Amino acid sequence: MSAYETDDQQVEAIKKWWRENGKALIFGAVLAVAGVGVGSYWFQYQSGRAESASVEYGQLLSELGQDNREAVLKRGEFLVNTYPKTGYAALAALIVAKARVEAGEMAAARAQLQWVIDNADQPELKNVARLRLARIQLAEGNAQQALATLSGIEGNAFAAAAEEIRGDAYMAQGDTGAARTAYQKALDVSEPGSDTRLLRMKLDNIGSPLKADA
Amino acid sequence: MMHFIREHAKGFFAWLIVILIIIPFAFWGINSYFDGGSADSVVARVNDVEITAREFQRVYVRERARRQEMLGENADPALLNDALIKRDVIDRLVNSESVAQAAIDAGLRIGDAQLAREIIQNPQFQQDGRFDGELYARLLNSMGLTEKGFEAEVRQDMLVEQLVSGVTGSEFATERELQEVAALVDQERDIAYLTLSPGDFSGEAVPTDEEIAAYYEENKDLFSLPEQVSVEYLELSATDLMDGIEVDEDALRRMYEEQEANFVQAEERRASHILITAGPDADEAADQAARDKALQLLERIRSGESFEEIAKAESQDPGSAAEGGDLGFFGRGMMVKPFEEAVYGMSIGDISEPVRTRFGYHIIKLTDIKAQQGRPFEEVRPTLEQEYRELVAEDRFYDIAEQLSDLTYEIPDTLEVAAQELELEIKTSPLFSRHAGEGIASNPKVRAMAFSPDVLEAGNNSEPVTIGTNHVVVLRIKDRRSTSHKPLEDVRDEIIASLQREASAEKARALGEEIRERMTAGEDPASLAEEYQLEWREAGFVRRDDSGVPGEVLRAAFRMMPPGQDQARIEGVELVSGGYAVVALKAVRGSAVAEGNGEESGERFKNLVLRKYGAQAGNGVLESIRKRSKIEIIQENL
Repeated sequence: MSAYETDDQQVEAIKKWWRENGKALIFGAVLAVAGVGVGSYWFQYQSGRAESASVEYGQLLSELGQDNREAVLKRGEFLVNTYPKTGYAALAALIVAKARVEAGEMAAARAQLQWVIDNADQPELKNVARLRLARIQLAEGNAQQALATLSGIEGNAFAAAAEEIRGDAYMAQGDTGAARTAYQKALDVSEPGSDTRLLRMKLDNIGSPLKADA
Repeated sequence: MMHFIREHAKGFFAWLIVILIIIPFAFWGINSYFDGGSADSVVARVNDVEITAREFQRVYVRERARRQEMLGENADPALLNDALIKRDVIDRLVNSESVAQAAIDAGLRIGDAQLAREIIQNPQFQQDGRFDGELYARLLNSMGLTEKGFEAEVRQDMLVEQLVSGVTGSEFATERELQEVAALVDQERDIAYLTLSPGDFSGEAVPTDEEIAAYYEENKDLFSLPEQVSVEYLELSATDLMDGIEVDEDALRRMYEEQEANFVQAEERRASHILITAGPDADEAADQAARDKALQLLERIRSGESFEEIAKAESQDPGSAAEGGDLGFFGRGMMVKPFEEAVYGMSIGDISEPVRTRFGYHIIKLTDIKAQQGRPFEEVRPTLEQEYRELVAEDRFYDIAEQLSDLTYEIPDTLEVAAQELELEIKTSPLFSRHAGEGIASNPKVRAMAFSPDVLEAGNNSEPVTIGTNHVVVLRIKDRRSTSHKPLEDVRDEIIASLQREASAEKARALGEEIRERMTAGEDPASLAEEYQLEWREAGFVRRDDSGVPGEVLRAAFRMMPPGQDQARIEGVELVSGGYAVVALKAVRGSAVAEGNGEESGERFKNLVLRKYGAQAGNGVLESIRKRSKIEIIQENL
């Protein structure tokens, strides 16, 4: 663009430019402002929901601490149903599963844990749910299903727990040899300093391959 | 600037650029350019979030102080291993950061209101049960925290807590697990055993010299002496300095003058009086009579009669009348108020008008004044001298200690120079090891210093070690005895005993094996035991915590595979004491106890299962999160 001779010419040029582009510019600006507005509203809506869920969850934890089963079930299920997309749903589902197990409602407990496995984003929560689901299946006498559930566990952070439960499942199936191998493996991969007394008892009870003086 | 823009912003693109520049300010404001970005070094990164050295230092200092307090003042510095504490602290910070990030990823949030409630409810920040903003600000300040920083920390803790409590708190125990655990923990086993102790086979022949020498060579480690050092040291204490101080009389005088106020004896006055009694509850007539009597006596004195004679004859104060009314010297606060005021308003020789007190009417004569006066210097000199010595000693101590520190640092390979310069005696300690010593080496700080690399390896003078109030030592190694062995002659008896013990243990073991084999082959245990003059003990059904069976035997019995239907399982156990045991496991059964008292033991087992699986889940989550986080620890900034 070349320079203008006078201010009038300059004003004239701006007016002309405005006539040609004004509408598009205003439209663009409105669109941009609207976009930012909607985005920011959505962001606030989402974090607002997460924060409400967080407050509910805090209450759920304190009810859990007080062993108030009825309240735990009610608030836990409310959290899972109302805020399924927040991280609190998975934690609440784990808590509801506990309450169900303690009431002997194994099928309902399984459903909660299965929900976590299917819906949680965090691999840790999925794996914790798998361990617990396997234990419930074992308690119901379905060792085969328990083994299948355990095989879904990824990574080795949960290996010690998984191997021990696997050993329990083999024991339930009467396969002492496989159980011994699994228990021994659980012992081998246990974190130093973790409580392995029960595991050792299980192993000893089926005749540990270790010498007695070990 | 606007002028510049107007001059040059002549096209659509120029305007566009201006608008683009404006947008970030509109949304983030100018302060994001000034926040943060300070030059604080980084000790760790968790997924690119930095943990700064300042954050780390704060937690580290607190943790170190906590451990120090736990161990006590004179703890061995080796127990406060800085590297170890640092590792623990950075570990904790990294764990907390990575779990909090995972919690955020999982969609956990702590709203401002929730955060505020958490802080307001913290009793630390409450006064009389209510949140106190000023106290809050003060406490944060004392911890070196800004409100923003502290709130971020609390928020992080809350996020971690939400995730961890959700995982561990939702742990359960199934009925099957409870039964299984009860069956294991409360299991009972029917066992019988015999033990062979090496003592049964004593009276072994004395080993030959060759055997002894061979044993000594093979087991030299057993006879080692720890590394030992002796040190020479200069010791400086304010207490020692006190004796050598020449007392400067002028200084004592000056101190005396400065402190004179503390040594004064207040003014005292001596008076005589004549009392005409009239109690406080005397009626007007009696009062008037006493007053008239006093005035009359006063008149007689004024007209020339002797005060003393009149006092002797007329005063109704039996204590002083015989003395001519003399009361001796007294200070303020010893006489009743009106009397005192009169006395202190008079000059020597004055005689007062009758003064009414609760005793009656007094005619007072002031006879002498002992002016306010200091306790004489001679009287307080010992106190002053002690004080003087302490002061000077402390002064000299700091002065000499500094010189000592400088001299021994500048000339690190001898104490001589410092000793001569400062007129200190070089003392020598007996040998001591890293872990024990006598004299100054009984102080763990001294031992730690003697065995520090700079002193032990480099052979330098140590830094001054403070071993008491105004009491330091500087030391250097005089003699170093590396790990050595006790000579064979010193340990000969020990070796003979060991060899004999080994031989006995070997016999016990061989015999035990023999018994075990014959038993396994089906021979009757009781008669076998009798044959060897041993006792076959039938313990019956025992639990894991039975106290009647030796621990090693019991543990072995509970580690044996349960027996088949018809035959007991038999195993041999080498005992730590050198003996041998043959153990028979005859039967295993579930607990009679567990079924008996259900409630209580049920709760016990439930807790056991919850703790075990809960810890496994919690640790698993932590480990798993750490594994998928990108964690970088910058060691050199720790």
